[in-house]
Amino acid sequence: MRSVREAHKPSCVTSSIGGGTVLFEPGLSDRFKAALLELKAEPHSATRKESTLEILRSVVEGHRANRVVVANLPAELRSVVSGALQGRSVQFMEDLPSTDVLPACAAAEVGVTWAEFAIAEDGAIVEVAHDDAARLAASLPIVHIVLLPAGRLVRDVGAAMAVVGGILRASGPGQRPTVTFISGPSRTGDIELRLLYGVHGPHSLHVILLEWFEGR
Amino acid sequence: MAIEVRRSIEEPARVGKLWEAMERGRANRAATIEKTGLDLSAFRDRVRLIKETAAQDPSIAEAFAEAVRANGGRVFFAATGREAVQYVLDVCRANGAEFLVKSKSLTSEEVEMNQGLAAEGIRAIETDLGELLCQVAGEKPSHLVFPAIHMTSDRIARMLSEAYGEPIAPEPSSILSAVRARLRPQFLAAKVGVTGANIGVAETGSIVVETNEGNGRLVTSVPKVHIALIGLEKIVRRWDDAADLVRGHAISATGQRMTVYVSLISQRQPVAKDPAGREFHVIILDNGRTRMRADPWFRDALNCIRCGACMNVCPTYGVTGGHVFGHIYPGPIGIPWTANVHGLEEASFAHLCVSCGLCHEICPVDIDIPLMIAKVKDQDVEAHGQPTAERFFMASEAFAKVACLSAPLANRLLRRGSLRVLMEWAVGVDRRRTLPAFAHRTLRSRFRSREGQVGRVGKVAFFPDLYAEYNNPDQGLRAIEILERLGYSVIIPDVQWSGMPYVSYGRLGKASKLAADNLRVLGPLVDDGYDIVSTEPTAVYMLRKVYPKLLEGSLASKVATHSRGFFEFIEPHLAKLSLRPTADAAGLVGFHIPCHDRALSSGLPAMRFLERASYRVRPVETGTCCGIAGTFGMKSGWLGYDLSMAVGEKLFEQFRESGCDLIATESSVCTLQLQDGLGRPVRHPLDLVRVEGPA
Repeated sequence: MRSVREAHKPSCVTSSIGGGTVLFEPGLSDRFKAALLELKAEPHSATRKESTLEILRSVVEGHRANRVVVANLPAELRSVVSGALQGRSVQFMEDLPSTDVLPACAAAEVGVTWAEFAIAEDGAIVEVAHDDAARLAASLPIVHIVLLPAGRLVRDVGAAMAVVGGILRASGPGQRPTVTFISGPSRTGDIELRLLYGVHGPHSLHVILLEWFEGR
Repeated sequence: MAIEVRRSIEEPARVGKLWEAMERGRANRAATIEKTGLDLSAFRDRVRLIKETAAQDPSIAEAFAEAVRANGGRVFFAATGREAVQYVLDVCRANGAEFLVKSKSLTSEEVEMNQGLAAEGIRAIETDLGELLCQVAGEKPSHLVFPAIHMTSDRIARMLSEAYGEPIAPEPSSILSAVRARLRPQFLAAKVGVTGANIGVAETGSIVVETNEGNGRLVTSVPKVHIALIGLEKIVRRWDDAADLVRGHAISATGQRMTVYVSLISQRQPVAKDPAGREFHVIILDNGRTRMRADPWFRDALNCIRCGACMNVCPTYGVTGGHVFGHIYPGPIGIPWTANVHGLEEASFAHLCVSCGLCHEICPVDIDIPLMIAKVKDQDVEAHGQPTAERFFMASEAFAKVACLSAPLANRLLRRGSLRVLMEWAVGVDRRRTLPAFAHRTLRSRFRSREGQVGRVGKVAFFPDLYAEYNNPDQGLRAIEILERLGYSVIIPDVQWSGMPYVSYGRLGKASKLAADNLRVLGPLVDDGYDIVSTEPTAVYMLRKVYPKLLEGSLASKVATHSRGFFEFIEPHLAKLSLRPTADAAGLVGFHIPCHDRALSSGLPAMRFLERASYRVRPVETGTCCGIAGTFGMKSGWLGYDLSMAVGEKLFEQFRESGCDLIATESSVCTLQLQDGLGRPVRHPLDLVRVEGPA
């Protein structure tokens, strides 16, 4: 069922990512959340800035985490994260000397990063990293929180690949980001086919859909 | 090999787990295909086109290499596995690395990278859980997607407790925590990370690395140096080509919509803006691939996307496992790959293939794996000779002719224990296998002495194959009579048998000659307006699917287009007939779909035929072969009868539990297997239906 909010949105959202204009389909939000749940990822909807703070705080508290690393966020969101997590160790990777990034990410329990867009039917968020600090912050801690503008959804992997191909071509040689589709927490079936989470990467993946923020 | 097969059959716990993995693989794949509404045949065509272009065009790898260099990466073309390993060694030494971390890479196993590095004092640490377990155990992976499927959690816990020097509980979650804790410091200290690549994309010089566990993410982000090893057949031109492959890998391998982490890597990134020491190396591996590309028999193997679907459906792999049914590459597609990159000597497991053809049916790239396997068998027989039993079954037609001439006596003798002992000793036909009785008069002889009907609807050339001709002419005549009732003029052309054993036992020269002989008879008939119809699914499979591959040219494809299974052929006319059950009560029929018919009509027309005669029909299926696969299960011992019965056991169990009143199948050899396995009669659909009309 489409929400009232979605029904009143323009028929499509265009956005500029990495030099190309991307068409996002409206009305895919419920589908995306259902796909996330199926993959044992946890969707959260933040309608306002204030609720974003609350969600961040409760997720971090829920995991009883104290050390948080943050990377690759739009500048406007840095204060939201640090505001939400007052009293805890919050480190922004961009502020650290490069040699401190790996130890910080290895010691943290939670990594907060940014998704450029997401693939609704596959429940996959798309990370675009021009710096590996973003990938380290997203993959070393046991909990990964991803912030994503709610409207930036494409339907399927074919549409996503078209967007990413555009980004990579437009970036030019030597300037190409590392792009990762992430669908759910780290998992394995290697022991007696039993599905287990958190092998090498995060055990928990939270996706916060920002309905109040259009992205950088 | 017989000893290895016996050992695996006698280890039921391991076989059970492997079977479960395969069943789940097939079920998840089917469920995801249904859920995503994927048009499988269009998807197969697209993936095939992408892979074919990639595998056949050498300029794509050149363009890829140039783009990687433009991004700041280094490229090395390795002609052999040894060269690839040497390159990795050199990079490790240049960076002062004593060990490296690796995410799962079949290509690195192909070149035996770990052993090559170890010999020079560099440790390669596998980080994929299944691969790690195999490494600790000192064993080869037994499944492409689940490498350690042959280990129980008890065994894993014991093994790791010993290796890590700390007690680990046998619960999977405890094992997982222990492995995570143990590997983490190694990740953090690693200077070099090695990955394979599922796809290379030439237009931007990028690779795609897919992992579920997230180890691929760590291997490609933590160490300063990333080395990717990619087979040159994996490189495609554009990103548009990559989407279908990403989808295809996940669906066909595990039934996931998408692998959890799909990383699109084009170059090294700095860490906190610091690019110091961060290097990206790509090794493009040939190791026989260019030779395969030029070989018309084996170039199809280059289209493989390494999803493992073929091993999830292979009946004898399911019982023997990848350690027996494999060298380094396991399973059906492992046969042509092994023969080409590791040598014919390592590919003798080809003879475990029973030629059921299911690997071709499930392959997301439509690779004709069975034909390549037949070619490997052919080469192996050429080099090492052929077992007597196989020579005997390839002479089935000559044997049947003689047996028919002396039928009452031959049948008595074939039931005699002493003769069967002798036959087992002399020609290797298992004494425990019930052989079909021979008819005194062949189908052709009875057909000639009856009054035929001239029909106006059309003309049919009935292809009897061995069973209807020599063992059960009644069945053949019944089919012919129905065709005549429907208004067809029927002839039995002067063809030989269809000759499947020549393909199963790797005598492709003989198979081609036989095909050519048969087509010389059938071609002019098709030109004259005849359709070719047979009640034997294997005969139709040969005419439709195999002859056109053996013989190029329009004759084979013309005959293929006009060949049909009996029930498929009559289906459009069924309304004209009155169908009633021959049994007293039309009960529940458990129907077995022969493997060769899965490539044709999947038994559906025969099942609908029975339903029109007011039977209730339920297919009883394990999703794989019943185990006999032509004459394979008639051969004596562990490489024949015993393996065949072990494969069939799951199906027998399902039939026993199905509660069906009657059992039916179309194939003559499946009938033998089910009767031997179940101790119950198995009927042909024509035996269960009384056909009358049209008025």
